[in-house]
Parts: sequence; structure tokens; C-alpha cells
Amino acid sequence: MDRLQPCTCRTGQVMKGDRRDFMKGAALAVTLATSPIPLAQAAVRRVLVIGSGLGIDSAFAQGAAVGITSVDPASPDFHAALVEQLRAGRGQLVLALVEPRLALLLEEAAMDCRLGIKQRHAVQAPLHEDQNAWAFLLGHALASGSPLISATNSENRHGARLVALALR
Amino acid sequence: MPTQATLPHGVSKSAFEAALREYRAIVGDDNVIADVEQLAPYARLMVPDETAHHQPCGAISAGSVEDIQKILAVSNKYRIPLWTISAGRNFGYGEAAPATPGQMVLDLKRMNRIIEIDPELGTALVEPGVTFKQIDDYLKEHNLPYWINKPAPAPIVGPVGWTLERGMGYTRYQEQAQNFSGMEVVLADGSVVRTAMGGPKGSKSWQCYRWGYGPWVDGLFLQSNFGIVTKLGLWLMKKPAAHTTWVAGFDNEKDAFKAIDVIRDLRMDGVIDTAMLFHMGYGIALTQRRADFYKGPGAVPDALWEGVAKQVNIPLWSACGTLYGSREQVDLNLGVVKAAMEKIGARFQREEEVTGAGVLMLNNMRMLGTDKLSLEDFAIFNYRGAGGAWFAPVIPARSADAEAVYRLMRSVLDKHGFDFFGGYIGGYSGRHFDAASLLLFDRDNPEELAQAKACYNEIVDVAAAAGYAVYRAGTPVMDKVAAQYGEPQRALNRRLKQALDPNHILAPGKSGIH
Repeated sequence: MDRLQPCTCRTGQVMKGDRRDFMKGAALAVTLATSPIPLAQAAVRRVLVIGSGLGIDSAFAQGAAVGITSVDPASPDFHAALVEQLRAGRGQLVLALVEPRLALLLEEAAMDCRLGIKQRHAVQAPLHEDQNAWAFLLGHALASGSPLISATNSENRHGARLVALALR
Repeated sequence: MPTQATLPHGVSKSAFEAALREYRAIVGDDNVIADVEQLAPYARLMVPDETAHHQPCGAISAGSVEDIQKILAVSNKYRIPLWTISAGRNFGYGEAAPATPGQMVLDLKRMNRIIEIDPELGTALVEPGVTFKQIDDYLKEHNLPYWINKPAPAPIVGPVGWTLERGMGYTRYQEQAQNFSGMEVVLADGSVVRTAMGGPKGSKSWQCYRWGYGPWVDGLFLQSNFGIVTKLGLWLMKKPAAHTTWVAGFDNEKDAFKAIDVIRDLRMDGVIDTAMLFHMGYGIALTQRRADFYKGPGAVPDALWEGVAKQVNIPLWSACGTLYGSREQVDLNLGVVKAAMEKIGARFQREEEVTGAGVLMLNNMRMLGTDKLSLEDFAIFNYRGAGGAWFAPVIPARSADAEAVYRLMRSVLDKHGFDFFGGYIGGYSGRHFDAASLLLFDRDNPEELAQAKACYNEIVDVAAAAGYAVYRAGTPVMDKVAAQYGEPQRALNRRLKQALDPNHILAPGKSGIH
């Protein structure tokens, strides 16, 4: 696990929007990230990460060895911004750990960009204290295509229902 | 996710590959997809059915009418069916996926030109890939005094597919199928027809007068598979000088259903354009995950809904409508609506008087051309999981019918452990309501998916048996609903299909027409 320690990442452009917290218990930032750091197992040069908005985005991104920036789903331009980012990363792996509603919107954007869905897993987050460690492992498993993805969902968990996606 | 491509029925792998080569020669490599992973977004479902039942064989993106004509020639040659999508969303009714497996999705998103918007007549001629946001942006950019009638996910859906599916929007125009004029259609043999006033050479009235001369054929291309609509004329609602939204709250079901009669009479008297009546659960589901407030067995009990309503101080049911016109007209009509609603025991409020959680219901139901420009309403798909299916039995505008269909739907939902999220959307003439409800479930839970499928099918059956058939159906139940409309209608559709599309290459199974 040594080589999976959190790394310093280059953060991409921050997309501004009139962010509104209309969901109880969850910030609704959708985060996109870019990284110059190669992932050996995934053999990709650049990875985008779209976060869950549950405060575990950093750990998820670190697991996948990338950094994060934000797009606001409450903005009328959300879809256009998402499509633009996905198109910019075409040919590269796109990772997401998102609420079900954002998974739906991400899949729509994937259709518009003609991206394939390489992996899609419904996952149940743990509660509170072990969320970050879980998200870190999940990020790594998704980025590397490792069987860890199923292991991360094998325990009885009671946190938010999320969807983990890998697109390319 | 499927790991293997699904071939069109009766087409060999080598023939399909030959067809793909010809498709690619027409639109280019980038615009033809046959890879299973790349097809996954096209096969993605929110409705309760197995993806394998709707797995496309490929997707092709056309950029022009000429492209479509050439694609049709290839499809006719190889007998490859084409499932046409416009913006390709159709959320809660089957999304982009075909009714039957092995169809090639014909994606028209690239055909996204606003061809003309007439500033004086408030008409728009658009291609299938145009989104509501595009039109809204155009109206703002050119400072035109119109609103576009639109549904909730307006930024990413478009008026052509939505109108053809008879979607309901949030303005005075509401049923856009009542408010379009003229279409251009490519038939299965590649011929192009312009309907109504689009026929006469040099016609200047294509988007103004919808009936033309002789039989009005536009209806043949709604909810059908008789042609590919490549242009549609829309009517835009003139922006009113003033508008006011009102809410009438009810704390019990009996009083709430009386609002159906009141809305009908107000509509038929010309006081209001239309209105809705919705249960408070819909507003709650926009903000709460189910697991956060209920972990018990079965559907959320009525007592809990009532408790939540009291706790957040919103009515159990709310009727809501928007009045348009001059300030004087609006104020006068508001007084009439207020008196009528208070007479049946409603708590009546103008929009500026609504506070707290009541704003959620108000935002969901008011009918303004300025709303629905974000994707916030997708929050409802966090309630249980990424599954959602609409069903909308049509009822006569009578309180007794509203109550009867509610009891029916609740009995089926309760039996299967699902919650009621819906209400009644007043129809254009005032004589009917759509008893629209959204079945929310976790698509990623196989047991829940199976339960939702059983529930969805049973509701469609039970409602029709009671005289309340649905007006629009998701792909998993299109055959079932077509059967409910009777063999004579099905036989007529089959004869039309045979005449217009003898090779049956246009969207087999659409609306149960094979």
C-alpha cells in the first residue's frame, strides 16, 4: 500500500456557480479533477474524479492518485460544464463516486460524449469515522480495476447509497 | 452490464458488420457505436425492467435529413431496426433504450438548429436535438417576450421528443402537443413530408395554422413509429404582463379531492388556465433520503407523512396554479380562486405568503417559463436509488374519480412496499386530469427492482381495469398498454405500419406497434 499514499496533485480549473445547499446532509459540489501523475495499473495519463459531495472526495481522489476541483449541479450550465470536461478528457479514465441522481446525470453526459461505462457499482458508504479510509480504497480499486471494489461493499454499511463509476 | 453485443433479430453477424461499414461511410467512424461499453449509456434504464430486454445493437448519430435518408436505405437493405431518439432522455419512461433488444439507436442530438423564431408570432421551428435551454437562451439573447413551455429537466431535454411523447410542461401551454404547428417527417422509404401548411409551395403559414387541408396527419407521428420527425413548429407562450402563483393547502384527503371539481369549474369558466393537486410526499422526496426518516417495513405509513407534514408545517395536499394577464386580470381572478378554494376548506396563500418547507411544493408546481432551468429536481432520485418510472392514468375531472384512482394506486403501492409520490395535473380543456405518479425505487437492488417491476405492471393493469388507462407508457409496458386500448386500434396501427414501413425498420415495439 506504500505507493498509494496521498500525493500532491495539480488542481484544475474551478468552475464557478451559484451553489445552493438544497439537499439535507450533503454538500452538492460535483468535483472534477486532473492529475499529471500516471497510474501504473490503469495505464492512463490523466484521470477525472467526480465526487460524492459527502466530504470524502479528497480521500477518494487520493486513492485514485488525483486532485479535485468543483462544478455546481444546481447551475443551469452544469450539464454543459460536465460535457466540456468529459470531452476534454476523452480517451482517459473518468472516475466518479456520486449520489444516485448525479450518476444518472453523469451517464447522460457520457452518452453525449460517447464515453463507455467500464465499471458501475452501487456502493453503501460506511458511517462517519471510517468513511475516508473506505473512500481511499474505493478510489484506488476503481482506478486500477482491482477486485477491491467488491471488497469495499462486503460489510454491513449504513451510510449513503452511492454509485461508483469508471468511464472511458 | 451486458458483455456481448446484441444483434438485430434475424441479422447475421457478418451482415451487421457490413451494415456498420456502410453506416460509417455515411456519418463517419465517430458517429457509429457498436462497442458494448460505449453503448451502456444508451442501454441505461431508470424504469423497472432488465437491461437485456432493451439492449441496442448499436447507435448512430445523424447530422442531417440527408444522413437519415441514407441511413434508412442501409437499414432497409439489411433489415436493421432504428430506434429514434431526439435529445434521448425520456426520463422515467424508458430513457434512450429501445423497446426491444437489437435495435440501432438513431440519435438526432447533432441536429440541433433553431431554424427560426418569429418575434411577432411567437413560433419556433426547431430540429430534434434542440434543448429547452437553447431556446431559452435564444429568447433571452434576443430579448423576445416569450416563454418556452418545458418539463422539469429542461436543460438537457428538448421540445421535439417531449412534444411527440405528449409531455406536460409548466406554463399556460402545458400540453405542448396542443401547441405545435407543422412538422417535417422522413418516412421509412426516405421520402420527406411537410405536414399541414408546409405543403403548399411558398407557404408562409407553416407554423401558424396547424390543420392544413384534408386529413390532419400530424397525430400519426406522435407516440408512434410511422416516421422520423426532423423539424417541428412550436408555439411559444407570450410572456404575461403579470403573474401570480397561488397555493391552496388541505390537511385531509377528502377536502383535497374536492379541489379537482373546483379546478375543473374554474378552468371551464376561463378563470384559470390549469392547476395541479399534489401530495406533500413529492416535496419531501426532493429533500430527504427515505432511509433518513423511515427504516420500517413496507410503505411509509400515512401517520408518518401526517406527522412530517405537521412538523415542517406544510399541508398534506396542495393545489397550485399560476394566473397570467394584466395586473388587474390577475388580481381579479385571484379573488375568484381564493373564494372557491376557501369554500371547500383550503388554506389559501399567494406565493409570497408561502414560507419554509411549503416553498418546496410551490417550486415544484408553479407554472412559470422562468423555472425548471436547473437539474435540481433530480434530487428526487436520491430518495431510494437511481430508479424511477412515471405512470399517468387519465381520469375525468371529477373528485370521485380522483379519489378512486388514488385508492387504487395506493393499494398496489402499499402491497409492494412503495411510497406514493404524485398527484393530479389538470388537462388542457379542464375535462380531464393526469393522475401522475412517480414510482421511486433502488435500481441497484435486484430484489427491489423485481418488486418495482411487479408493482409497475400491476398499477397499469389495475388502473386500466377500473377505466383509467394511462396516456403514455414506459418501454417495458408498451405492449400491455396497447393491448388495453383494444384490438381494433392495434389492427389499425398494424395496417398503417405495413403501409408506411413495410420492412418494419422504424422502432418496432414503440407504443406496442410492431
